[in-house]
Amino acid sequence: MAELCLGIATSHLAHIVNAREAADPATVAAFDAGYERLAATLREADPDVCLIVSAEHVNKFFIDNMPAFCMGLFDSFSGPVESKARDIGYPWREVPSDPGFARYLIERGLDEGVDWAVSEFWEADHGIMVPLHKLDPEGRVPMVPVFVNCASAPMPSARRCFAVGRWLADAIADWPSSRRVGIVATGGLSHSVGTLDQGRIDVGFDEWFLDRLCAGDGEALAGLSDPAMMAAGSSTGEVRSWILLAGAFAGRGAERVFYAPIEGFDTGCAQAVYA
Amino acid sequence: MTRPPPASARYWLNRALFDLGEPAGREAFAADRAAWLDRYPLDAPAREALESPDWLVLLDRGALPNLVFKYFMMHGHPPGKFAAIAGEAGGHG
Repeated sequence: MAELCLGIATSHLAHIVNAREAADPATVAAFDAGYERLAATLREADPDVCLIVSAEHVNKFFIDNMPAFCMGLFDSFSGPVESKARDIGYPWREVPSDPGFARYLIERGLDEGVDWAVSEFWEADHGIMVPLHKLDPEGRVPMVPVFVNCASAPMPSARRCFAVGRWLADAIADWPSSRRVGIVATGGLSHSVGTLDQGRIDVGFDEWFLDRLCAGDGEALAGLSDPAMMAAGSSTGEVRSWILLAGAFAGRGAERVFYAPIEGFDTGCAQAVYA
Repeated sequence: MTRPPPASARYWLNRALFDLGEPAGREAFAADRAAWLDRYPLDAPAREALESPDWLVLLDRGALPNLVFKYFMMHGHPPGKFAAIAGEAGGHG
């Protein structure tokens, strides 16, 4: 049976690669050091495949057909899609995936009540491509992309995200394979994009969230309401991917790697691991 | 105009913004903004909010914040200035 060997969570904002001058250099260096720690953890864990779970920013997933959760089913995908419109400071590339693993999870889910939407073509945005640029720029580890709708209400509840994470852990443990699997969750923490709140960082929310994550308090995370997430910022609901990860590691506390409310990046930036 | 395909109240406004993610949409927008807007069955306030643009009206009428922000960036504004610019003069700019 397969082994869930690693969980990584990180903010995914592109400022860390293309607007570094917008923030205090020492804080940016500390954020980079966090990424280096996560990258080293990924290398040491040496998973055979990872799921990379992220919000998407209405570049691909639109309200004509918005899934709650979607999984990629292909040999590879590419991105960042934003680079098609302008230079965004990091390169377009192809990322290897694992359709055998994805098909196993999709078929099992469709039989067990986790009704994955399926995508066979995916040009990923910064939500996936910035963390991969920082964690695995050479594309050594096959990545199966997982979308969670954090952009257009109605969105999956925190409780549902947690449950899907728990289900993933069970499905991975039952995968008839000797391979080792990691999960990378990206997004958050508190921030607003395209609303009058942009620039406001809710440090109180962020500290509470990280405290509960590191305490292994799944009930608190799963109990987060949509209004509570929205009150911490219009895009703070991206923490759904972190809550999904917490579900996969239910009963365990994460290790906090980095947090700073980075002015200029307009985001509560955080990183954590389950290693 | 013939009756548009039925959709939610916010759909066509978001569709217009979403289509700017594709080269064809961006080219149409750059070439002739009125002709670009003619492609969508927008009511007068939504059309006016896109034309102005009026960021707060766009949000009020259900435009997704991520799409509003991308539209804001298309106008050459600094990314960190959304709240300041959108908050000025009733959201115009």
